[in-house]
Amino acid sequence: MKKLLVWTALLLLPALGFGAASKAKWRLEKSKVTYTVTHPLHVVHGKSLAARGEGLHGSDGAWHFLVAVSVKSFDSGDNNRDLHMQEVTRAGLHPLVKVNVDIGRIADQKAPQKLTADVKIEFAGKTAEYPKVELNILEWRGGQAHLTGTVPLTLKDFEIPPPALLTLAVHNEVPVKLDMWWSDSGKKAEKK
Amino acid sequence: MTRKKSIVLFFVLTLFSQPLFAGEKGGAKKPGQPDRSTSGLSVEDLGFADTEIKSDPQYQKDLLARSDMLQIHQTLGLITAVPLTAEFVLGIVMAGNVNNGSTDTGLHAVLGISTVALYSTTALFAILAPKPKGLKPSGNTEAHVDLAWVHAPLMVAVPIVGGILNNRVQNHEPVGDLATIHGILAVTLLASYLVSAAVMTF
Repeated sequence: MKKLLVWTALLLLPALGFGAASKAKWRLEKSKVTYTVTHPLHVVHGKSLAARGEGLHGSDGAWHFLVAVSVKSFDSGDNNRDLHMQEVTRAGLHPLVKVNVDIGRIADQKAPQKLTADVKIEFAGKTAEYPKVELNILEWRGGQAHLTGTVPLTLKDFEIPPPALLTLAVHNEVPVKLDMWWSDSGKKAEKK
Repeated sequence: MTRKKSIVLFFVLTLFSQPLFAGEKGGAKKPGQPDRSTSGLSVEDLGFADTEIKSDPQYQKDLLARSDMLQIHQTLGLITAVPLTAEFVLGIVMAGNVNNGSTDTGLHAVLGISTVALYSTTALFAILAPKPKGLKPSGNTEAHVDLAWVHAPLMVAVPIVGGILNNRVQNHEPVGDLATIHGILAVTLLASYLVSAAVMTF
């Protein structure tokens, strides 16, 4: 009987939340994602405030984040240009940009703090990896962290034909700036 | 009996408890199941609406058609600027010749009609290009569209006034202020058209 109780307890442990993989702990509260396209005649910035994301601290000690944003949510100030952007980035077929970020180590509650991340982006139906992207934690107060960084995205990485105006094409480099506020949902639950 | 009950209880608990490795699901991925990364995170958990994550091939086709038509609109628009400018310069020369008694206005008239035809074709590609419902132009495109409300009516008025003026010249009738009106309308047309093209470029 004792043995049975022990086995029962062991089998029920995962139901109590002691599974091998941690549950999502961090949530993206607020963000601004901005791309910059450079043409010989002008520079265009398109931004989106509609990104969503989650992050967790894995049992291997590494941090894993997933951020996704709708391509249609980007606004460059000219919706005709935005529609053309959606066309070249195949947004009708691949409406989301998905960004997976893996960070080896984050010192708890430390700010400012520089981090190195491996970033994998799924965009326009293609996948590209950007190792050792520098991210910065600017602030970390209680359960909220403010994180910024720039991903050196290029059009060639995603087989996006560079749009042209008056036969002059835009530059291949399209850096994407991330400005994000993450909150620790575990600490929020504690406060409640 | 107690032993049997224990065994039954054991199997019931095994069946209804969660797997030890809660983050993993055994077996092949079933259709409709979220595609989880090795970290266990999935886009499906982020709360996007279906319309935001669902692929829409028809929308992509419409975007492609729109791009192609607006590309043609842009090319024709730039081409139209050439005869429009030439027509304006020719008009200045023609005015001088008419003042000196000439009635030869044929070239100006023919070039004018060709320019109207080219302009209309340019406009058609923009008007017929597919666009999302309720889309209101913004940014430079808004200025470009607003200026169209200036040069489009002028593109009708200038040839009409020009036609009346040409009849008077051919019939040796006094032209009055009609030449001045034609000229003012023409310069306004050219200026608004060129500015309309420039706002889309810079």
